[in-house]
Amino acid sequence: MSIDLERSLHDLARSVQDDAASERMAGQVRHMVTRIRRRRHVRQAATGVVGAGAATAVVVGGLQLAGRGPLEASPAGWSAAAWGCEPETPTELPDPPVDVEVSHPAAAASGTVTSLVVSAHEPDPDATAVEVAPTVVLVRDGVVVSRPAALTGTMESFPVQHAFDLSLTSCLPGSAPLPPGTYDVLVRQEVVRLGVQVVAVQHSTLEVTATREEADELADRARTAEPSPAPTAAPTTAPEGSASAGGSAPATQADVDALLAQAPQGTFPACASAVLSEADPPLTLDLTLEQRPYAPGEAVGGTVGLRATGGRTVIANAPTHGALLVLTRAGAVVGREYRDTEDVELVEASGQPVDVALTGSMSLCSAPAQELPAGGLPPGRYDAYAVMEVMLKEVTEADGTARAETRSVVVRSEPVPVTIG
Amino acid sequence: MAAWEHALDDLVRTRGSALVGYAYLLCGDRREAEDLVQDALVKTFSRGRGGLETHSLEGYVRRAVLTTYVDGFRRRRRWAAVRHLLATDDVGPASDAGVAARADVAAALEALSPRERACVVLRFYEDLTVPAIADALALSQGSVKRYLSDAVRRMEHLLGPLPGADVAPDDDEITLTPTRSDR
Repeated sequence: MSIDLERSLHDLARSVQDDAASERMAGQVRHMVTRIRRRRHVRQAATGVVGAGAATAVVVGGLQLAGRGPLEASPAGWSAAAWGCEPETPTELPDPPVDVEVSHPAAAASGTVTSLVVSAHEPDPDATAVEVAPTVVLVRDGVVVSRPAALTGTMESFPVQHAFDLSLTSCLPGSAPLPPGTYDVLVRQEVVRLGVQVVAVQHSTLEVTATREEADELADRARTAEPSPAPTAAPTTAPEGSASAGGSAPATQADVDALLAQAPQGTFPACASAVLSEADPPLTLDLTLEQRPYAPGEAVGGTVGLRATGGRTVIANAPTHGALLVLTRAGAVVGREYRDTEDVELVEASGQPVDVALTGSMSLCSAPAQELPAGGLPPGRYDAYAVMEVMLKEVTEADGTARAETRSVVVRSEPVPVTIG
Repeated sequence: MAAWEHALDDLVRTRGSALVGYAYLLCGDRREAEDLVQDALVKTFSRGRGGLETHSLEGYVRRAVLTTYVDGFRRRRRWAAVRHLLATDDVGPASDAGVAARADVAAALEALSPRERACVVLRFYEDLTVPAIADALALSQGSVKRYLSDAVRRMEHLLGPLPGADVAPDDDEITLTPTRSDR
């Protein structure tokens, strides 16, 4: 008997397409959303995404504030004849096969090198293909004035992102710093559409300033004016090392009481949620804190031990940031920092504790959650827990029987009394 | 809830199972396939594209699944170390000829290298041409032909003749030659 390979492959793929798989995937959407938000936040922080219209408006405003226009500010003076290397006559396509996006600071100082990120989104991946990296040049008054930006890397993402360094110097011999003014960042992206090579173009505006300080100010203004690309009701992330609440005002007992009045709400360890109690948790955390009074808002770090219970061996995906310190009063969460789970790593736990990082602070949380703490917790006694949400992969019982797991569980320590004051 | 979250939720609910099936062909394990699809979804949506229809998004996710698999799924080694502990049989018992063939094909896929396996899935499941496979995997067409030829030969050694595997599409020049099989 011969096998129909094509049919067998389809049968094989269908063999895992069941309701349980769909249910498990649907159950992971919230976890995926958290990871996506974190990645978007990191990307947003790395490069200001410049919308051409918004950037132009902000730039003009900034320069008018300084009492001069772009051309007046140019010490070397601008003319296309003096600075242009070649005419730029891009062919605008009536129906662009791809959506090219370019990200860069709104402004940069003349003579420096600025970073750009370019990606090309294919609305119809079956009909179009982006096979090569784009090219990026600066254009002003219809002439190319810079050398092509240097490709510095290709980032793992979909669509692929290309990183460039663009030198704000002339393309003419001598590479003189470009005169300050408003330039057009022109991106050309070759695209194969239904087997035919075409070129898509994209423009954005870059303000070249005389000094780095001026560029920083304009770039900051542009970032402030720019709306978030993905506004969400929930917080996106907490800044790295945000454990200390030193910069915020201390909370009062009334703040704590107001929070407790909302409890219980949400799922542990959300702010104002009730402490989770599970009969036979597969994992637990060993938390030890110094026996001393803690200051309101004081940061707490270190490690906690993750171990499996009941003679089990457990393999799970755990957040790379480790466990969170959670403070409770009257059985409800009143203190925890917000941490987004951007990446996970496999951990294997048995009876012997495995060290995982612990972060947190003696600070009041907010419901609904906010990125930053609502101030240091007022003096008093609280219960502290180490908490970590993991996704189980395999659980091997003490008798050696193993089973696959795909559910998320909240792992916590026993409570440790702490005094703030 | 933001629009992209709705899109993600919609995609997972309507196409999640099919995506897992596709990933399963590549990695050969149900749980690993689900992880693979999750990673691919995160990669895809991290770019924050608005206004895409589900079918377009699925195309991106499939590409993400493919490249993540080929580039080395990070959990592969660890999972491979423990998978024998699990009682679940991903392909089920061989109760009839179709199921038996399915199980045999699954076993034969296990014998292939990641790139060979990816080429086989793209060619005979996704029905891509050699140039399209070369594009998807960032390989030369010659490499794709070699991978396909080696993969088919190896699978035929385990499965016997694969009649469909010697049919080259009209738009590429590949001619797989299962007669070179060393069976």
